[in-house]
Amino acid sequence: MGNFITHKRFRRLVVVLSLITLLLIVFIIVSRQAFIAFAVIVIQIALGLSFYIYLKKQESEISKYHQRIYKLIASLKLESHQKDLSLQKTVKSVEELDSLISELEQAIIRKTNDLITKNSELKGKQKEILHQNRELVSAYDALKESRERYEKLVKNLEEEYFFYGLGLDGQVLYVSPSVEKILGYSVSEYKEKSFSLLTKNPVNNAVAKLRSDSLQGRLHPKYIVEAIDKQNIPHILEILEIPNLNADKQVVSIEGLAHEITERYNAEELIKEQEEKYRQVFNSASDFIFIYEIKRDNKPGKFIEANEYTIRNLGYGHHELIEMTPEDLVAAEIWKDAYDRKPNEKYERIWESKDGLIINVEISERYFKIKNQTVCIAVARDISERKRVVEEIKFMNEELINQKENLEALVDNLTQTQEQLVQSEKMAALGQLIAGVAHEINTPLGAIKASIGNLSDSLNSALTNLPELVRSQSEENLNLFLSTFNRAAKITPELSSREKREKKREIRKNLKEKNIEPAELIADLFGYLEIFEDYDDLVNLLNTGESLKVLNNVRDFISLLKNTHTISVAADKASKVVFALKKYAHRDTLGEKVPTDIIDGIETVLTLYDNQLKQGIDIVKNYHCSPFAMCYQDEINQVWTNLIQNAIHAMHQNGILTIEVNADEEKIIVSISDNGEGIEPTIIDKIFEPFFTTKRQGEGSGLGLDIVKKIVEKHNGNIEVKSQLGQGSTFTVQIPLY
Amino acid sequence: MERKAIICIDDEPIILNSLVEQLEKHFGQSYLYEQAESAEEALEVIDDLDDDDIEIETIVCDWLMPGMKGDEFFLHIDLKYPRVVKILLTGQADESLVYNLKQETDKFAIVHKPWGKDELINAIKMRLKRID
Repeated sequence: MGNFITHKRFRRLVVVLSLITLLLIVFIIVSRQAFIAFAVIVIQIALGLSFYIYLKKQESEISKYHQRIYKLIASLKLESHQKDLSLQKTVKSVEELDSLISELEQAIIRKTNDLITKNSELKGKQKEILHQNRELVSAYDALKESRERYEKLVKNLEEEYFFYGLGLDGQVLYVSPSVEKILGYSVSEYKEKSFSLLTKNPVNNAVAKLRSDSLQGRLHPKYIVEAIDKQNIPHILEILEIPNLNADKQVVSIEGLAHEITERYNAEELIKEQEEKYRQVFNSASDFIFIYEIKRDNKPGKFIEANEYTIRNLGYGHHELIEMTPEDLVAAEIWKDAYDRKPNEKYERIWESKDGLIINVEISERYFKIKNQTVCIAVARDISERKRVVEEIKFMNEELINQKENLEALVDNLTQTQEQLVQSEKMAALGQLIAGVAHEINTPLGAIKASIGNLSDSLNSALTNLPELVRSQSEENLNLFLSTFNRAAKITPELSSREKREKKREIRKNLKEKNIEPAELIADLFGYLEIFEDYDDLVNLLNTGESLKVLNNVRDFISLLKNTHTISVAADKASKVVFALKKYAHRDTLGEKVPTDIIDGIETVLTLYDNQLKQGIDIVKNYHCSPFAMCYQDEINQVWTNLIQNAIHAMHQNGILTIEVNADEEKIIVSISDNGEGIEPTIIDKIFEPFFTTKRQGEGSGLGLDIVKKIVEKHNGNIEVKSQLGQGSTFTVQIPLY
Repeated sequence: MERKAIICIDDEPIILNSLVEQLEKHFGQSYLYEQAESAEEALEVIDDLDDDDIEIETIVCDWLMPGMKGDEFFLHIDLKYPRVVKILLTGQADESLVYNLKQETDKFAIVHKPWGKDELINAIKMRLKRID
């Protein structure tokens, strides 16, 4: 660059000359002297000449650079064959530079021509000089700009490249200063270090051999070295070395070009690494992964690539596979639907491996293009196992459905059985009741039968004796008859047999005191007529021998009343029992809940158990509420029956049975307590289990409380028991009102 | 006049009343008729009669009563009154129970409720004959 006339100096010259010219022109105008005009022309010519010389010099400098640039371009063009991205960039830059330079060249030629023209025109067009000067300045600016751009480019190149020359002995003959930009070493430092900068990276192993090849005049491709810079940071350099031959075709030196490619190299290494990773994934996948061509007719073409899993599991070698299409794998029988698939959608295939193994696969595919060739990457998953499992699940499902149906049938059956059990338990309880119930019915029947006999006898006797009584027409007798009859017909409170006996004894004593005979018979008659008080006036009437006859006559008539009453009471009693039985045995065939009077149900059961209860059990009833709840009427009474029966059993027919009925807004609460023997704590948890019984064989099925619990649960209610040994038990049943 | 006693025992007044009247109508006023509502009460009656030196000829007793049952009662008094005619009235339909009672028929006769008048009277008469 030192060979250029510095533009500052030149500018100064131009300015001075231009000023002089201006002054002279002014002077000419002022003085109108020809010699001065001549002097101006001379100066102008000198100016033009010096300008011309300057441009010529510039031109020759530029052409020198030009040549070096061409050299560079040549070497860059060499690299462009490598399809290297960054190099392409460089090439682009070079091309840009090229075009810039040619632009510059043209500009210079144009400007030169212009100047020459202008120079020749100068003589006639002095007035344009100033204008031309201005243009020249701007031309210079453009030139300067170009130069700066060029310097930048060179600088850029210097960032990446350095040249060197090696002697035959390996000595660095020269090195471009840009080495410092790349490796941090100055030219002289580099000359010293050179080889020692190579690292132990294996890429450097081949350097010695390659270099000796070069020294022997052999050409070899570019190679890569790793060298450390001054900061010990490794750089990857791409080395192009060309032997320098003399006229005798002997190697005199080696010309080298080092290209710093660390970034690119690392990026490539990274890509390589990633590619390796993908390859690992590809090969280690336990799915069939393969790539195959798609033919122009959209049918599958030959395999291009397949992973190890595919090779291993299909039994075909890579070389075999690449001669096959995926459809060749399809087991023959389903060939027909081989093409019924849409791209990019999953589909299933049955494959046959080389050794005849059938494999169910599910294939996912994706089409893409490589260099105008449509290919497909497919992932096929072995779903044989899944198929088998699905089949198995299907089978198991069917099995389950069957089992479910069986179970449902069983539940139906059980429900029926349970209903039958409830019914049979009811009937068993009924059977146990029969003896007592028979007694309950036989008692009034016995009374009725005896009373009817008595009635008939009394009527006969009355009718026989009446005429005699009427005939006697005795005032006294009639009086006695009517008085006694009136007294006897009066309803008096029923006395116990013991009280009656006491009274009779008293009457007998009274009569004996009054010497009225036969005192015993008369006392008996008074007893029968239930005349126990205030009988003195009657006694006073007993003074004739016929009194006894009259009293017997009264007795016959009162007997009619008494026996009729007995029959009526007995009939009521019998019908009450029959009604209770009917209610108890009632079977609700509708199977629907109906409003049920709980207390009525309990009372029915108590009626049926009356003969057992009255033996020695006191019943305390605490009914505190409206007794209605929605119940399965025929079943709920079973609950009370069982609980009352158990209570009687627990008390050995002697004790206090307490029945409480309460209700809140949601439920009716019935508790049945006894003060019997209580339940052993060890068995209290078991009492609701089916077939659990504390009774002797034949006395109870053990289903009682189980059925009670089931019935209560059927009502969405619950049953609890509290018991203390020796103190008794309380069963509490809660039944929802609705 | 030496009256013999007939005792009727039943916890049901309707039975007791009609039974006594039935027997009274048949056997007439030559007998003393006593009633009791339980075996325990009957024992008191028997004591009273003993105190009065009245001979007991017949006892008709219900089987199922609160407290002492009819058969227990009969077995209880049989030791002291083996010659008393004992008739057990039962309304029970339980076969096994009746079977058990029949094992004791040398001590008492069984008449089922509802009984017929003749049936009861015959039973008493047959027993009376057997004792004589």
